[in-house]
Amino acid sequence: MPRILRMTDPSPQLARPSSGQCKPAYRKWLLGLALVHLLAVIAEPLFFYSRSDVQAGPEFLALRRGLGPYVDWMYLDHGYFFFAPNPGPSHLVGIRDQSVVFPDRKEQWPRLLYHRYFMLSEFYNSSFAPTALDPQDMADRLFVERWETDRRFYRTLQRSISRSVRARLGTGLEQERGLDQDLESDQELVLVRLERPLFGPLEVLSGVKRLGDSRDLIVLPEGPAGPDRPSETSEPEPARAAPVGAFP
Amino acid sequence: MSGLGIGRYVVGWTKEFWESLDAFFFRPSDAEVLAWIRIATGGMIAYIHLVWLLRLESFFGPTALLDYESLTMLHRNVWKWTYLDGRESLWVACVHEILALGAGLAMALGFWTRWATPAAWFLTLMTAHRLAPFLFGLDQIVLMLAMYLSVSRCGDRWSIDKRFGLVGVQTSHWQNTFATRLIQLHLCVIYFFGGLGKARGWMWWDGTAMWYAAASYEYQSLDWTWIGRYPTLGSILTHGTLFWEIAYAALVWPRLTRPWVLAIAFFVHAGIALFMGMITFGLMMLVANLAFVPQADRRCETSS
Repeated sequence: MPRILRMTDPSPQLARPSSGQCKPAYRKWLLGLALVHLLAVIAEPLFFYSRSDVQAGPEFLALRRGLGPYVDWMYLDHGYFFFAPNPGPSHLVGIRDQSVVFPDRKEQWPRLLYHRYFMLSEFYNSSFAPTALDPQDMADRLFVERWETDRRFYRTLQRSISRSVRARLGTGLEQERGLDQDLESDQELVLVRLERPLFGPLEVLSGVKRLGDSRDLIVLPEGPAGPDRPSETSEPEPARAAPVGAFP
Repeated sequence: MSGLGIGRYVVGWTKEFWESLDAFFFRPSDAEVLAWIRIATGGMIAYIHLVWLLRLESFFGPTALLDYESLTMLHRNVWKWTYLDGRESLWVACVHEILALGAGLAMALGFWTRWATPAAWFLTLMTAHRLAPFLFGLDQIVLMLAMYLSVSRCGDRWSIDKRFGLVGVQTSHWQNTFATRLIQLHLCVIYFFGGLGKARGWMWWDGTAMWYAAASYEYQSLDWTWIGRYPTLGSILTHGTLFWEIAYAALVWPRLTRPWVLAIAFFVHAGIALFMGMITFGLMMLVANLAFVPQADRRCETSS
């Protein structure tokens, strides 16, 4: 390979001409590293896609576990689910008795900031674990253990968000809007999960439904999914799937 | 074919395969396209950290939305070490974010690029582990690009380093090829699994996914619900997106199909940027696709 030089370089005194070639001795090592790295890139999606109620593909599980620390720390742990498997309803978080909802386009600007809050509200919703389990689920010990862990995390996240919002409201940022009436006490703010359902083209184009109408927001229940089931804890429970005007 | 013939064939094939692989990863190439990717990625990293700084007290420190306890539980079974572990003070977070913003700017300008690029990647990674629930596709793409740019010579063009002679005169280098190939392969993985994920949903098969994406108010930046009046168009766009994503990994390599695949990428991501409120994500996906744009071979002009 001919040596390549630029004769018009502005600083020839610093010129360190080289062939730009990789030393042959290094190439096999670099290819090996690249191969391991690329395996790490595909490890998470392969594991993610191979999961079912029965098992995860054993070879993909082994790959994911083997490369676990590298995949996790290098931020390669993605299934690349963009609008998949289907575009779904959006989820928001509201504060009971306060007209605070996030994400909020007017409150969070620029758009990237709004999107950060949107991702948090989706995360909060996906972390949801009900206040109690249905009796038939209680028989499965593993299921119960998992629910307990999930429930602990959900409550911790709930308290964390609540404290942060409370601190923010308390700093006076919202005081001009008269929203701080209950913030003197130490009581935890009650977070409410909200869902904006997706409507079909007929409903929207005929004007029956308007996108962004807050009356369409559904308050999601905190208890188990079964109908007419009383709450088994003393935690505050919002209205069960109450639509239209139930919030705030 | 005799046993000896098969042996020769295998040896020949292996030799040819190795030579092809060697050329694929190590043939020196120019830094020009990577320099453009560097400028965009560095600028985006700076912008990302600027946005974190806007609400610093909501994302970091004692009143963060995600506190130490939540973060510890979230990362209990994964390797996500970061020194921003939820117990950081606002001052530490502020210094970190300003440094990250500065590293992003330095990367974009090409100032001390060999240091600024890995620094921008590392500082952004630390923030990413701290703020995992706030992240989305943008962060995945930006971190991916910054990671690969860190092993390239992307500062050899369109940079302050170049302008003031802080880098050598060599512009073709194997590291540029190596980084470009890794970006290309990673991008193929993203599209392939992105397509497979969509293929599991019925809306991507019955042609309504495009409508439901348009009807998602939280994503919407421009109203494009008019697409509901043209169900055939919506269905064609839905299926086109699905098949394009799955086929991307195969069709982006041949010269005949590459321009078409990249043209579709342009329209898909420009659409996401304009209509779906994710201008940052759409822009960075377009930037990542630049890795497949062929560049003029400057070795010809320099040797002449």
